Amino acid sequence: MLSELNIEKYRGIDSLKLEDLGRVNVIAGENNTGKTSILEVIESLERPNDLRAWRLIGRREGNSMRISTTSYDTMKSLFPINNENKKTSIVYSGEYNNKLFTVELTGEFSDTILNDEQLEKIRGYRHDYGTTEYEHNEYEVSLLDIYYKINGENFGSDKIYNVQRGFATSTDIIASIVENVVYVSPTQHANNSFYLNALMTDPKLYEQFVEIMKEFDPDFVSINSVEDEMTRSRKYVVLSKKFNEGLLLNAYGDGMKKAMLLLSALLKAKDGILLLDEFETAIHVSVMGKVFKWIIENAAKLNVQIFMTSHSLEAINSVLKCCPDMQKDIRMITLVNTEDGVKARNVDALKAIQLMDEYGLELR
Amino acid sequence: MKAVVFCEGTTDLLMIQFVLQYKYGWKYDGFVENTVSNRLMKRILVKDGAKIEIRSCGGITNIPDEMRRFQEQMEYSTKKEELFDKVIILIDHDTVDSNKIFVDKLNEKLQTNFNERDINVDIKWKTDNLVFKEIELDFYISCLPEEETGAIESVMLEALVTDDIEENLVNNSEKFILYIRENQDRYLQRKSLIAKAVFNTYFAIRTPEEKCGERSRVLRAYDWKNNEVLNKSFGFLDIYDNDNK
Repeated sequence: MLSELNIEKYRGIDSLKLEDLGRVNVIAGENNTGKTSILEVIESLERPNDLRAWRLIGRREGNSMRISTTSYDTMKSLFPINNENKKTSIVYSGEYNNKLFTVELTGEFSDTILNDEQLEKIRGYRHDYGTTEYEHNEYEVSLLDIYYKINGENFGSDKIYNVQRGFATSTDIIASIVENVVYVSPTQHANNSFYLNALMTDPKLYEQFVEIMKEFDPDFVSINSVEDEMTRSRKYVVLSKKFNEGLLLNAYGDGMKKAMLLLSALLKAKDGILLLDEFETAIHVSVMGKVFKWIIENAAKLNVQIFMTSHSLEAINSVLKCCPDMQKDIRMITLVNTEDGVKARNVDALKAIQLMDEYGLELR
Repeated sequence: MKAVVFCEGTTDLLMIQFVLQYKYGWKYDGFVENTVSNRLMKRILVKDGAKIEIRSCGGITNIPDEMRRFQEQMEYSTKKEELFDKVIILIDHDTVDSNKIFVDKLNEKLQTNFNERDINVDIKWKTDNLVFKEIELDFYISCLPEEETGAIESVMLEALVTDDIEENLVNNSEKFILYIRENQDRYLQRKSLIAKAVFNTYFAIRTPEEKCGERSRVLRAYDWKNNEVLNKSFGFLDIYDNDNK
């Protein structure tokens, strides 16, 4: 388990220390306090020196069809903001499974001149290099050199130009700190992206899963993976006594799909870390208790550590109170913007409930 | 501005509320009751953006514990609007030694270094906060009456005496209670209890048929704003600051 995380420099975070982390960690706070940044840093622990992983982590904000960010812009946005130096760093450290770790990404920004051939090569255009005749133009471009250091040891480097569309990483050896990290975004369920294979191979958990699905659809029978005879592609079909034939999963409501995603993601994250960003999205308050109880109880059985962010008081209240036997293992972390930067109040669920119910304090 | 007043019991709470409302112009904004015992826990009053809570502790011996809970509430607050600016404690002047005993118990609970000289004067109280490191509150321990032993009821009775009839009524009530006190040693062993008994005797005569509602009506009818006794004794509740809402 991740017992401690110190983010010294990442995006807008400057020196945030999180200690005494538990099996389940609920992270709340006002906007721009760094909730999602914390999840990003934890996600990076699976492949901290892999540019492709960082690109996926950083690109999350630019998922809109109309906004496309280059790899250069994405990576630049991960480094500390308000930095006027040409050289900057992302630095974080902590303790995972009783082993200390440090990660440092050094970024060096510079400007350079490229000719036509170099520019096209970087942009990924295929040509017969050496036979094509180029005009003798020069282009001023921005370059970001990234150097990776894990636990004090160099683990490769990458170059990214602001004009390149794709990118190639030169890293051969991935220095993994956490073997398995699964991230679930607030809207992933709407894209019909699930981890159902893991769910369908465990009979006990599948049985429990069916019971929870019945909270959404009392006539729910099962979910099956079927092959389309014409296209040979596989699709998920839900069987319900309400309908004469199976319905495609994407015909169901967001609430049921979100629950399905959360449950299946937990299984996928076995022996690792599960990150749930705004975990309550699409889940109605009437089923929150049951869904969260299943997740938390099975997190211990599957050896999964969970970090979840939320803006919802109902969801936070539900998580804190759904498993009385596990309240010592659930941490409530509230991030606060102060004059000295972002600080964290970290208490266990019992204390959080007292602060909320007896003292009327805000947990978000 | 946000303030809290800790007092011993419900009667004190109601009297403080009257003073705040009818003397200093605060408006009543709700209450909180203990759902098991129905004991009135706190009343909230507001005035132009400022807020004051009056918390009844169920006895002077409970005030240090309630203060410790308040200190914990301040320790864990993460929002500026959850923090308080001023704390007032209102206690009876039970015995000659009661102030020292109270302050010692308060220090034990809060890990502070208050002493008897800090009573009836404005002081500062610094306490820890997990996020903001340290916060400072204005602090006032009011002991009534100031000079002699007694109870808050003594001050209220003094304020209610507006003519000869009322004065005679109070004096005769006091004579009766003192007579009872002198002829047995089971009840009324402290001056504060005598003051409360005199207060209740006076009101039993004033409003024999109905207790609470009638007393409230009587108390509301007084010219609180210009009452000199209240000006002197409850001046510490004049905390509303136009410049610092």
